Amino acid sequence: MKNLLEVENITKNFGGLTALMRVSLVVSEGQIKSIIGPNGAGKTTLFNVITGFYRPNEGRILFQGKNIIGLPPEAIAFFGIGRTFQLVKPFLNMTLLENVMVGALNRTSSVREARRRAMDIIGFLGLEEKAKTPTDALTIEDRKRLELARALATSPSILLLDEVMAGLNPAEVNEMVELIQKMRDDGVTILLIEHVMHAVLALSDEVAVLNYGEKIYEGDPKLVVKDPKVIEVYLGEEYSLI
Amino acid sequence: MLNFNNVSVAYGQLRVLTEINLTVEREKIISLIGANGAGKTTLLKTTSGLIRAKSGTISFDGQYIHHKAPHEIVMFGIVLIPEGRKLFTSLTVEDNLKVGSYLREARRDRKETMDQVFSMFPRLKERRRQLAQTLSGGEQQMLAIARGLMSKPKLLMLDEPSLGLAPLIVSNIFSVIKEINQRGVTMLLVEQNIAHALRVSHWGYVIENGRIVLSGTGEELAGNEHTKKAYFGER
Repeated sequence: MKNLLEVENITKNFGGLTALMRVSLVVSEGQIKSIIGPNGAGKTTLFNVITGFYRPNEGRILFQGKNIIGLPPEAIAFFGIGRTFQLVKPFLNMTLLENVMVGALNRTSSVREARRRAMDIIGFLGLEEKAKTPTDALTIEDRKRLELARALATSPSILLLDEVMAGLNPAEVNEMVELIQKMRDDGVTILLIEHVMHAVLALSDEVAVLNYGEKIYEGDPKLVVKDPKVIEVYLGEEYSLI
Repeated sequence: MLNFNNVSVAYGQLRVLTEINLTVEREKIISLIGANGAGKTTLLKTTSGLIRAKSGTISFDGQYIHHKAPHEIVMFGIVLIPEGRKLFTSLTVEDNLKVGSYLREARRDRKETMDQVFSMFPRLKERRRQLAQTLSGGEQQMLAIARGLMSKPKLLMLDEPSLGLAPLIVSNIFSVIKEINQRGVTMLLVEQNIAHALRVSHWGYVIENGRIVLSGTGEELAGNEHTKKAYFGER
């Protein structure tokens, strides 16, 4: 499979604190890859570097073979890297549909076309009935879906998902897992940060583990849960799959 | 200890809780289970006085509290640790704890309570002079719980304490919940990590669309066909 996103030796310092230390990872086209690790390990920082919110101190990021370091977030979104935020960030004074249209306007300047594209995605995510609902009246679960819808509306080749399962109960997690699988089947490559291991194991072709800014594991999700170092720093001895 | 008698709550025209009857027994851990938007957080906020019930009564240790203001309800020993922690992020760990012991009685015993809290959370002791914003997610949640304990509560309500935390830290949080309970504090817990929550709970209520539809011991609810389907997503 072709490499879509290549993170090469990324280091990011905040003052004296090294948030990422020579982190490398590759996401191939059509893959679902997960990043796990303790709170504060640098996972979201890596997303912020990939999407141009932070500039790294060292390293390269290649997307479809081109270095994207130094490009602003909007250019990176236009190239086809979409993302969601851990704390959902809807435009609260707009309806769900209008929020998704903002994403769609990444690809078209026609409001009509943006509305059509937004309605398609809203249908895909099963939110039709709530299209006209003001965002501040949505439940957390629906706001999480909206976050996904808006990112999808930018027509990304790869979508970076930051803890989309947080706050969902196990049944809601299963629905979200199915949605993500559907997105991948539609040709979107997925890189996700997640603590809900049930979802990580159900979805991932590969898993990378970060700890204190360093990659300590990369590979098969079935083996990651047996890795002594990963159990020590992240999963814990009592870990069970539920 | 805490009793809800036919309590209904509405936001404007929108009914959020309908005729809730619920009992929290002393020194027990009680869980509220339900989908997002079912009304669990509203129930905690109503207990705290942050939201007023439209009808029904709430009593605590035999006294009605449903007409009281939040600061009066805290004086009864009812403390809410809200979702998202709501720490004073630009204050130190120690100052956050001091704010927790603002009540007169708690202030008197501040030093002793703080020692107890530090023995339960050694990480917080190590970091007592650090700003709360420099703590990791897990440490922040521990601090939120510790701050709640500083007021010497009788009833501690926790809203999604495991949200967004690594599996190892989630296990730690639940051990802490059990430990606090063993020290005699009654707990009312809202959690999406249902398996973990029911494992530590003496009793649980299932809330759907603002109504209690089921209740039972943690074990009973974990084995119940309806909860398995609706909340564990089993088919």
